[in-house]
Amino acid sequence: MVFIQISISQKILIVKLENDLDHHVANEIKDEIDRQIMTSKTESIIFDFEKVKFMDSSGIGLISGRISVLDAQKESNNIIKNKNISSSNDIAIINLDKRLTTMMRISGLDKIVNFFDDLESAMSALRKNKHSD
Amino acid sequence: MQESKKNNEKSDIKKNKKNKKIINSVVIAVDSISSNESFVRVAISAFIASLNPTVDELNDVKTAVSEAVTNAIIHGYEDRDIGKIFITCKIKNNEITIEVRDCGTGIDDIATAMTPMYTSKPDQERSGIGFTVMETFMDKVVVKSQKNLGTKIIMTKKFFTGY
Ligand SMILES: Nc1ncnc2c1ncn2[C@@H]1O[C@H](COP(=O)(O)OP(=O)(O)O)[C@@H](O)[C@H]1O
Ligand SMILES: [Mg+2]
Repeated sequence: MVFIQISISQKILIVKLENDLDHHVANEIKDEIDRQIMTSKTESIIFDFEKVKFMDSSGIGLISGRISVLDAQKESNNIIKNKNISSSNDIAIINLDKRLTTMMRISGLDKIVNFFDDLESAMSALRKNKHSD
Repeated sequence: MQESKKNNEKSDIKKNKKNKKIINSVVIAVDSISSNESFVRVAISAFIASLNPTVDELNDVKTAVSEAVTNAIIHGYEDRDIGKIFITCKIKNNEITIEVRDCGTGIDDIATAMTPMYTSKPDQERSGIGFTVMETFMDKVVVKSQKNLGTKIIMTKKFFTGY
């Protein structure tokens, strides 16, 4: 079964999640995402939930885990000038349904990452983000 | 042939016409292996399908069950010992009761464990909202636990539409 599709455009990693996102699947895919973050010198990530049929709190852990990986990578590359600024601002989430939105709210993730309706608006927001850095 | 099959199906669900009671139950025992998380979700979904839950109601139950089974695997059996997880689902009219039990480490302080965003395993990318998710999507969640003996989660939910 396919769980993710990854592509990269202008240092923005686009992760399309598919099917069921639980603890088992999260463990299977996180290394693959991290490998991509490192090899492609990713600066921001878009998580696309359009094809996700099910998610439990392991999906939340997957996203916050990638924020930490992005933080660590930027720190080691000295990209972060101010250590207090987290990479959460470089994370965008698109295509969330009502249930997934509830999960984001329960976890508090809704306060630190950005949500968009579609890929285009997420891309342009993340790009703008970079220019104003 | 067709007829007898129909009759069989009817007797599968004990239906006392006088009180219009539907009573049914299932017990599932699985090893604490993460690939069983999806199996239990599918099995429970199939079992409660007779109540005609809405898509939302079904997803509520699947999410809560997934949280409890995952907890048994990663906390109860600490992701290394293979132990048994027992899942019981009871249907009584339009109400379901699901119990998820492990014979693992047990919980020291249940109140702390149930606090939103508390996790004992932040290093394993746990978000600490499993219990909050169960409480959000089910009507009632009760946790019973004893150190070194195990943990039992009892969750109930009433279905309204479709029933
Ligand atoms: N079956 C269990 N056995 C032992 N400890 C548990 C069990 N379920 C939950 N816990 C404890 O309760 C805490 C909170 O659980 P939960 O809300 O699901 O968050 P998470 O799983 O993300 O840590 C866990 O970190 C763990 O310490
Ligand atoms: Mg949990």
